[in-house]
Amino acid sequence: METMESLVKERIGSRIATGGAVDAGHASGNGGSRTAPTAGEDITGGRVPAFSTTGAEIAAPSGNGARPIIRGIGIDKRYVMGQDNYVDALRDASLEIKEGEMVGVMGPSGSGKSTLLHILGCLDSASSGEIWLDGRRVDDLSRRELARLRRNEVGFIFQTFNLVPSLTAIENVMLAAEYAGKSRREAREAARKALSQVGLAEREGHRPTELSGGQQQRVAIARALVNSPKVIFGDEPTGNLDSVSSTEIVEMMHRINRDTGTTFVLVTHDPGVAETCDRVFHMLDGRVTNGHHA
Amino acid sequence: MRTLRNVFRRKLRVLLTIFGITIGVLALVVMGSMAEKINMLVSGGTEYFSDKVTVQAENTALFTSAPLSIDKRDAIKAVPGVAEVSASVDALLDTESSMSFGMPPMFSGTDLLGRDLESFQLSYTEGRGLNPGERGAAVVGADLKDKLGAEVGGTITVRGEQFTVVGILDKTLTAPDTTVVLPLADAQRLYMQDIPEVVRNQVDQGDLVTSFVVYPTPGTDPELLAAEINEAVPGVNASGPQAFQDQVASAMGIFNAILYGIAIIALFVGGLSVINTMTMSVNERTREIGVRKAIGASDGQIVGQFLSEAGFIGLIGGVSGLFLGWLVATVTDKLLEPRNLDLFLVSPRLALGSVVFAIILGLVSGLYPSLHAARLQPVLALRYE
Repeated sequence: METMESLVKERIGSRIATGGAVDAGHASGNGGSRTAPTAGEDITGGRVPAFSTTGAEIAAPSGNGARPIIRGIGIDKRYVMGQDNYVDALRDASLEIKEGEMVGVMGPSGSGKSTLLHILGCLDSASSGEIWLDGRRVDDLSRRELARLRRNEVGFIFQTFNLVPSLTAIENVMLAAEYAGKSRREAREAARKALSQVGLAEREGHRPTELSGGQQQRVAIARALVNSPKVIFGDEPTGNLDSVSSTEIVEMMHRINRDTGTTFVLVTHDPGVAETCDRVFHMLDGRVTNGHHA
Repeated sequence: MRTLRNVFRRKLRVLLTIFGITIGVLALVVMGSMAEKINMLVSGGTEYFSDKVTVQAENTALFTSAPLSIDKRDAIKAVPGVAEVSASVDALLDTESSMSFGMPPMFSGTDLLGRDLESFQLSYTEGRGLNPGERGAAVVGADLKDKLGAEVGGTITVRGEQFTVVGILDKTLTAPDTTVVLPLADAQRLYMQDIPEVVRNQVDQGDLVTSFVVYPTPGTDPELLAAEINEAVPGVNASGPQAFQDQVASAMGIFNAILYGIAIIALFVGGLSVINTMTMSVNERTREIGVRKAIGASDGQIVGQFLSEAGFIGLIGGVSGLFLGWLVATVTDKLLEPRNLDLFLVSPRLALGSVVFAIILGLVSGLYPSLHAARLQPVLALRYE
């Protein structure tokens, strides 16, 4: 992890210096500016060979050539507390994320990262602005349509895992599948598949309290995956994990991104996590400072 | 299963809530089974009296056993519109029988006249009915079979006399269940015991009856016929179907309303505790609701989840309340059996009704908390600590 941190410092420094979104270079086809082999080895400690690949080997159609899957145009979000008492969480925030990308969103506390994530993920509504998801405008949809979208098109991973405590691992995953209209049996099958994707097949009968933080987050990833969403949003997904689990989870998200082409949008405070992303958006005072460069 | 686990997440609180519903349903079942018992008696009576006129001694209320001379029969029969007049002697089976809540056990002597005009037909579990002219025979009502140890071909003792049992009646849930039917002459002899000693020696036992059942000719209104009999025959009191309604059914209706009223209040309190529990449950699980919405639950699915939990609490409370109520009714009736009291009737409709009512109560009480849960903004719910 020490090497990961030093690497991250170096990378962040370069980003700040260039003042733009750092393209880690998947699309550049040859590893580009990203010193991927080093990064891979450092982050995984050599445990997961699949991760220690060059950017060139990542199959997902990411980067400049791919079509945009998320577009936010001039998003404002104002929380009104009372007369003449409001907070502008987002001000004219704009960004574009391409299909298959793994992007990070960084910024100081209160800069609007989570608000942006929630609005892009249809958990919250914008005060104004446009949000496009997979070529469809979604900021003006009905509650019912939004629920449909959340269950079929996007997945969520949270800092505190947010598993339903009374349900076992597999039941938590099944829940999402059942909400999407699958029968109990189909849901169980899909949940088994998703749990084995995150390496937790043998733990399907455990309750969240019987699982470690890392394992709980893997269940949450399986739950996000079970309906094969186009985008998975992560709100500080490693925020509550130790460094080992954190690395595992990041690796896992990368593997899924690579294997399935699922787009990941990760809000994070952890430069180490941001470092592994294809691009990082920076936020300050409700604006995406490098959003227009995307 | 999942609903069950969710419901029992807060075991003590949910058990207390279920207990609240249980008490409510217990009250409903106990009170309701008393009301049902009365209802069955009353509806049997209403049916029995619907097409006939009952004649008793003057200045007596319905169901009293004041003596009446059998000579009145001819005078009554002469009234236009009368098809047949049957004399009967009705008296308490056991002179020591105390006040009764329902119908006390009676013996009823009949001359069997007008049997083919009787709309309230009796059927027999075993044996047969009495034959005209038969003596020393008895037909026993369903509830008295065990009490008297009656078997067809065996004998029973009524007021110290032995009678041969020729038939056992099917259960009617009304008066005949607690009646021993005897030949008129035998009943008249037993009835003499009830006549004060000073009078007893001056009357002929064959001359005394306690009432006449008057069957009107087809097309005759029994109410009008009763009025005509009262006018034409002195010293009698003839009543049509309305008298039974006025004296018994309406009084019992009020009694029933009070019984059900108490039960409904008990249930209402149980319902409030469901609202309370479900509201607390929704508040506690606000974050979970946010998560469920984030992973795609629609408003309807959230409502469905919480409603099913509330309905489930109602179901468990309803079933346990029904069981306890049935237990109370059965045990109480068993304990009161030596005193010839039979207070409760846990009818199928009452049993089903109280469980269904408890479920509906759970659902209605759960509706507000469920809708509240469904309306939560996912992101606000997620932020909730």
